Amino acid sequence: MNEARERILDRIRVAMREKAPRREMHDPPKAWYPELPADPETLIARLAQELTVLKGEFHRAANEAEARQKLRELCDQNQFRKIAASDDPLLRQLLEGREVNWIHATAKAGASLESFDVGITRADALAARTGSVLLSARTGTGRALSVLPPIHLVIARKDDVLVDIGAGIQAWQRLYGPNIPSNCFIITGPSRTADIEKVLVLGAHGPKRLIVMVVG
Amino acid sequence: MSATELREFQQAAGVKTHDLRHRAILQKATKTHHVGVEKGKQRFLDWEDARSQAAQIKWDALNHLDQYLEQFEATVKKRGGHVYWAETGEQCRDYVLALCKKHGVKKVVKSKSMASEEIHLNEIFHEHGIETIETDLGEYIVQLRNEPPYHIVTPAMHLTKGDIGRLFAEKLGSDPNATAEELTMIARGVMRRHFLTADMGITGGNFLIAETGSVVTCTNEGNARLSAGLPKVHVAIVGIEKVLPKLEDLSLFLPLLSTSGTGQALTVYNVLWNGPRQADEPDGPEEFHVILFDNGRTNLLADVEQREALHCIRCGACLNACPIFKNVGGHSYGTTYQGPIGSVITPHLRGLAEFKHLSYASSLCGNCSEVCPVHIELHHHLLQNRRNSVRKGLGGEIERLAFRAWAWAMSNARRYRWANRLGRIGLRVLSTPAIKGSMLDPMRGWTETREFPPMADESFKDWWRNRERGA
Repeated sequence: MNEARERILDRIRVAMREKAPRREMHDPPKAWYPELPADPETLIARLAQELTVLKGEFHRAANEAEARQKLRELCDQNQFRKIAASDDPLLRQLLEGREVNWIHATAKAGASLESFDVGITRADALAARTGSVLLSARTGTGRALSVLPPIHLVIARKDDVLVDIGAGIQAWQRLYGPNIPSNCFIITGPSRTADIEKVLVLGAHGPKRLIVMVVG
Repeated sequence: MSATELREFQQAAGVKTHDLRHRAILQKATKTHHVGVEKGKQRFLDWEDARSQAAQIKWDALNHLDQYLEQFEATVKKRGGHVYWAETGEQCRDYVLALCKKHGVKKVVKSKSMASEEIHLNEIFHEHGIETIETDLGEYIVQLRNEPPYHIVTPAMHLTKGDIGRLFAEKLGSDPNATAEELTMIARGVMRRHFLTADMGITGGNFLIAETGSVVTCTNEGNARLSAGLPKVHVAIVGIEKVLPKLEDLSLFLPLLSTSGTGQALTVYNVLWNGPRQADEPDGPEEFHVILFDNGRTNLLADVEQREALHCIRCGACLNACPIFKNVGGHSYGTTYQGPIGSVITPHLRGLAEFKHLSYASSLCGNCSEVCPVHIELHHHLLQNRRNSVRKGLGGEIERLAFRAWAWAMSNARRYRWANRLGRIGLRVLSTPAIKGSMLDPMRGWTETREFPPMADESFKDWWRNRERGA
């Protein structure tokens, strides 16, 4: 059916008989990035700083009670009427009493999420060095929840905060092994474009606002 | 054949180099890019070392390409995805059209894919009555203008906000004086409708991860996530050279790409596409197809000397660094891939005779090689294209004779001295106002728009000889 496959592979195999000249590295390779102190508070401070520069929003709650309070304030200030959230124990707890469309593995999601004000998810990890959120279609319950609504709100625990995306990728490999979800995302700030004369505009197609709350 | 592409290039370049408005826009854009990149490089512990390591990883990938592609394919298939190997543009197009027919596809949303530009996929869709929408804002803009992308990373770089405002006013009925923010929101609104009603999403791929069978896309807008997240079928068209061996390689390559591409620490959405919707996921496409695209890349692979040009991660930095690009602009090249990388690879993808002229359109300043994040020696490859074209006898008879005459004159001290004397007389004649730039001037192409530098009274040779005698 795909006869071209054999022809392409044959051409590649023939080419591979001779290796291309290889650049010499004279010294042992260095780390790619400067070292970051691994203590949680430093990492969280760096995360907050990077996220703010990206025009994302960072909140810190010392415990679940405070998180519940802050969430209530966010919902009120922003007038979140239609809320969609991953069906997750922590989120269930923090959003108790609110009317929420809970998205789980067998829920109906996708295009129907277009009309919601906010999509709330957990995270697989947060990367301090770049202010990034690592999320998957499993943890984030689907592909649309974290990208279709105009606001994406992430609730994470203190020990979800890792040094950088390298650590986050390792966490993914530990968490999922060979059984990775169909879609994994590294989200670094709200959606943006500079295609029009290099003027920065937020909310091109993805969420215009990214809010990250660290609990603990 | 070669004459047409060459002539078109010369004509287009001739027009664009005199277009001062165009030059100003381009200079501003490339300057902004440069400032951003310099800042971005500081985030690395040692940028030069990181580049060298990236070059090593790419060397491993491209010198074991069969193994990695087979590993990639097996892993994708295990997860329920499909992998199709396309030798040519026709095969790729036929496969996509067959899929469209099978699924009754009427509308396709496309996230940026330069590979799909190679095969003019949008035109084919148009011919078959399938509506196709470019969702990357820059691509959407040039699609509205019926133009090819101007630059592999920033497709609408050559347009001002005013140009785009007028374009949207004409095509979408909006206010011609809208701000950049308003224009973007208009595009967002238009796209939304399409994302939600499309039957198929087509993306490219910035990387293919062999270890995990992942296609990786890097966008700022989120258009790839929406193009491939909502429709029933996701097709990723990716050049076979995009392979990286391991998932962990991304922690170097994602920042490397974003730094050189736009000066960002990371693009907003770095996404791994691993397969169709899984049983424990509430949404996602029913089918996931990866088209491994050759289209001449195996020609380049077979050229051991130039194989490293396949290391390219399509960051666009060499375009922005090139003085020729900055003068003639992206459209003048008339190729899918512009700038130094385009000049290096297009002869391998589409023919040396037809496209060798691009390798000659270079001052060999080497800035491209300097900025390349994976250490491709681009300016050397341009020279190699030139050498190869001469060896193949593509240089033309006049050029061959001219160089033989030159070699003959230079290879003997006395002949060289006489050539010098005659040359000085000739230059004096040519620089007289009556002759310079006129039809009689063989150097007209140069002298028409340039001042002639004043000639010294005596040649250095004579001056030295006289000085020696004097002393």
